[in-house]
Amino acid sequence: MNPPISILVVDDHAIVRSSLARTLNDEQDMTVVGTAGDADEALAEAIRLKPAVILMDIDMPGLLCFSAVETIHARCPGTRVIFLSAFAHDRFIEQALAVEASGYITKDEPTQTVVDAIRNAVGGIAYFSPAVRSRIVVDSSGAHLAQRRQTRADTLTPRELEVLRYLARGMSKKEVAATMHLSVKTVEYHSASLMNKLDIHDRVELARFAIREGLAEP
Amino acid sequence: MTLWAIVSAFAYLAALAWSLVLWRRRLAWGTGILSALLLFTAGTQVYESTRDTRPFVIALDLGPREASGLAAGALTLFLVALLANVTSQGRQAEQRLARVYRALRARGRCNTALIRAKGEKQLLEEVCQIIVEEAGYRLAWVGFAECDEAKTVRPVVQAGCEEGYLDTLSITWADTERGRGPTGTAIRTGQPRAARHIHTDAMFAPWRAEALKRGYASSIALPLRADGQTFGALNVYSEEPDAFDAEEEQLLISLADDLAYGIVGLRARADRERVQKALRESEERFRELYDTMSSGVAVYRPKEDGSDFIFTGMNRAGLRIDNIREEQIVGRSVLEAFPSVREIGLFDVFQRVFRTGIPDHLPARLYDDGRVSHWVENYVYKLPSGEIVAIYDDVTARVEAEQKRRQQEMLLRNIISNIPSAVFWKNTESVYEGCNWAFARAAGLSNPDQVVGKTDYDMPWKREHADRLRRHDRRVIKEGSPLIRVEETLRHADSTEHIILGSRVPRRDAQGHVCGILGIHTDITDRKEAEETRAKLQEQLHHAQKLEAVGQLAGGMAHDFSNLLQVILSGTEKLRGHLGDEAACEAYGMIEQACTEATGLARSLLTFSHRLPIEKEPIQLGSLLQESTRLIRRMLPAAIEVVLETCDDSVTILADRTQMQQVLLNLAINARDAMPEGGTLRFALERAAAPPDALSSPAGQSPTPWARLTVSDTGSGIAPEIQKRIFEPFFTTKPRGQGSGLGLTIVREIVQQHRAQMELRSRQDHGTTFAFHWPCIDPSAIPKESQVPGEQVRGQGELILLAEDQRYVREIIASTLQSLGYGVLQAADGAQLLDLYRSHREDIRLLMIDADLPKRPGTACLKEIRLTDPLTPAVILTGSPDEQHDDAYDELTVILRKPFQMSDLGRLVCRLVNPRQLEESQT
Repeated sequence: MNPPISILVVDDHAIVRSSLARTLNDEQDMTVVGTAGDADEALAEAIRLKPAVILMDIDMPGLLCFSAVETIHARCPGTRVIFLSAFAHDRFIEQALAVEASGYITKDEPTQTVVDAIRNAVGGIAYFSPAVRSRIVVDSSGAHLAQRRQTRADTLTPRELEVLRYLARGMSKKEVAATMHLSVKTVEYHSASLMNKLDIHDRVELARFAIREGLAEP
Repeated sequence: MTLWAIVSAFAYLAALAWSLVLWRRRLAWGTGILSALLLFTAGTQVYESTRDTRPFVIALDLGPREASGLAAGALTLFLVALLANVTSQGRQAEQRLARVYRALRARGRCNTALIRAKGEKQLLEEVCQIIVEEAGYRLAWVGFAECDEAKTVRPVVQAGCEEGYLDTLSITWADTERGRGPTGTAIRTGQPRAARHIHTDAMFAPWRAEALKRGYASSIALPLRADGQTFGALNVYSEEPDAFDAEEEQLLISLADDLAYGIVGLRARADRERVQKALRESEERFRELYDTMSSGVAVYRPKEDGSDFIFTGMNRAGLRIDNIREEQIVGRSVLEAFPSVREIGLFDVFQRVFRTGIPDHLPARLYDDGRVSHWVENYVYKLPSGEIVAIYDDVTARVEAEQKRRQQEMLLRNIISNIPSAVFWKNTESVYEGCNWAFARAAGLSNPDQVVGKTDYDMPWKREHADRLRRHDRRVIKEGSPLIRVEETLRHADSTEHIILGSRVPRRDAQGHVCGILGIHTDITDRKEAEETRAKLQEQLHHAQKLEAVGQLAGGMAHDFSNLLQVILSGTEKLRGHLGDEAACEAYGMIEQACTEATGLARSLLTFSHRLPIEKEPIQLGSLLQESTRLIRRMLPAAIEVVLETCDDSVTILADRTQMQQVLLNLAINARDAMPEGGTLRFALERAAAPPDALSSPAGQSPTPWARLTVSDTGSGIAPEIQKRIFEPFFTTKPRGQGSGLGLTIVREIVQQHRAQMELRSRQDHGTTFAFHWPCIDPSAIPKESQVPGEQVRGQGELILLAEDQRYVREIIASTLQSLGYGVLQAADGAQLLDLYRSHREDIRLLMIDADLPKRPGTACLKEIRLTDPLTPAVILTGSPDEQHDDAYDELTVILRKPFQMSDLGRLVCRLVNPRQLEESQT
């Protein structure tokens, strides 16, 4: 018999974490080896535990989950990541595809879907909720989000988008720099650049914009 | 002897008597004889006659002891005396004649002197001299009566033996002791007055001693009169007593009269000369003035009828002003020399003055005849000679300065009048001295002049405003420094309250002392209101933003809430297997139902908080209404009944679900607020005809069906006057803080975006109805592609062999296929593909091969498979549009070009794997 699938559950809500863990542990072929409350913790736990599958909530405080996943993939090549989210935002979908997530499950799906998705992930089949799947397009370079409405945010570079997300959460530039492992100067540069591009010069407006664009959760 | 004695005695007595007579007559020699006779002295005495230069010697040689000799002597003496008497009488007559003669000569000389006299003093001196020298008097002097208080008689000239006598006189012509002498009396009375015997005359008492010392025996004072007035006296003194007989006195009076006449004449001549000199000097002065004065003076001789005026002269200033030479104008008519005088009205003034003789004035006029051009001001008057004189000045500089000043004043006045601010000026007592129109209007005055003399307490402003203004005035006056931009409130005459920005600066006089206040009031009421409006808008915007944030927050909470519901639901699922009795099952059912409803509620909240992408999609309006009203019912108080009337569920529109829900929600909120006491909120959906102004459908097409959605309440309704405004942003009738004023704005925008139409019907107290006309779409006309195939057509576990070298793409495609109900075999390269095909060839229903596989191209692999298996359908995935594969593949091979969507893939796979099932579902 194969060893059970080792799973790391990441969600900022403890009750969701424990509920998910209990559900998954009930499965014969699965074992939850750890839980984490944010992306930073998830990164540390993933490196320590090297789980087969990480079940990760998209919107959590701290380091953005997509950035964390990038690092996890680099450090633990065998680990599959499945995203959970209440929303099927284009931007989330786009980024999940960019980090080659093994799944994107919206939270309105039954628990069984999650269980199946984990099994599929280990078997090399990704799982995307229908709302997500309908947005995916495959081209010669890989899987992407189907054509998205152009917004001002599209003029931003990935780095600027990332900075914007952090700023929109109310983090100071210093905190952003520490989180992104960049110098404060660089963050300031990105910040000035993105504010110019968006023509928004107010932190509150910036946050509202980010929320509207699905770059951040309220 | 006795006879001799008798004769001698008789002779002696006669001689004695005679000598007494002589003595009585004060004749010196009479005294001598008397003495000789009395003393019987003998000797020789020499008597020198004062009247006669010839010596008269009588020698008496008497011997007292010779009686006979006495008698003889007496006799002789008598004879001598007799003889002497006879001689003396003859000589006296002779002398008198001579004296008269001399007096006459003296008078003649005096008359000559009078005629020749050059001056008064010289005349007087000469006359005195003549009186003494010619008439043989001892002293002559003239005294003038002074009109001083003491009525002094001032000696002017004298001649003869004076010896300081006049210095001792101190005579007056007053009626006092020293005024009752001959001189004073003569002046006072105007009559001659003589002192015939100085040594006895009582009136001469004050001066007697001095007079006798100098040998004056008699004197006469003769009044000098002119025009009945006595102005002095001529005084003549003689060494003889009683020297002035009637004849002589008369002569002297005549002389005095001549002298007085002469003096008067001299005086008159002197006066005349003085007057002439003064006249001469005066004329010179006036001539000088005439020529040096700065004003021009022109003198004209009028023609008899005043029809023209001829120049007789012009002063230097006049010539300079008119830039002309005297010879060019003298003798010429004023109309010729200065042709424009008629135009400026000066000629009329000349004629008027000529006629009336009343001086006249012609104010500054511009004279311009081409030769000279200047402003002149004329004063015209008429001389007694009848000549007309014009005195005039070139006032060009003054007029120009005045004009400039007036222009500046006008400019200043214009500025002050038209400045939009109210300007005023007051004195140090805060009494208004002036203001501009703006101020006058504010104060309700019909004219700015009416402000003069008023104070702020006479103005329409309230008393406390006036008090404050007064305080400000005081401060500026006291400190002498400006008070700038002070905000004040003033009630204007129209009873409106205005907010003004007041500035006050002290006004100073030439010495720099504060003499009043200059103030300016700028009305900033509008600006203030605009600021307030802006602040209000800002507040509303903040409020709207806050609402948005609250919405976002609600969305976030809904998110967390749905998480919790998931936990509850998964927990209850586990319980289901362990439930024993019926009651537990019932409780379980309730929990599950509540959770399901709660999940729906959370989803609705998520929808409303803009969490879902905005996209138009076919929406069944009926089900949307059902979903929305479910939420709205929870939101509204129980007193409001929500009624939903839908005709059929098939009414489908193309719209954004979220926005549609927002429209309904916003209207519901407004309805709730319009029905505080409760009521009915009705949603009705029906098919309807196209609204009149809708675009007609293109020819040949069936007309677009329309749906009519009405939302009506039974509330207070909307007042007609604000019905047009209710769609304006931030317009709200709700109390502050209860509405953003954006609700209906958003509704209108959404309606416009969807090309729908909206209609408002409202009657006060009868409720409001919003009617929407929405263009419908035919649900059967919706392309099948837009429907998610997996929802209708699912695989039955048919096996698909998927070969794709990109792992992630392969996983995703596999995921999609699996989700659609298919089994998937994954191959990463050509070799793997062929291996898997061989091992599962019986079960494989579809080949899905990337054209460009490593190790062996997909196309090559397919060719090889086709050699043995021509029937299994195949999909070639290719990323290069240029590749021509058509000739290489049979009809069971389909090319799917990248990029493709998962939905496309699903439909394609379904068609290829199970064509019959797809057909069935479409029918």
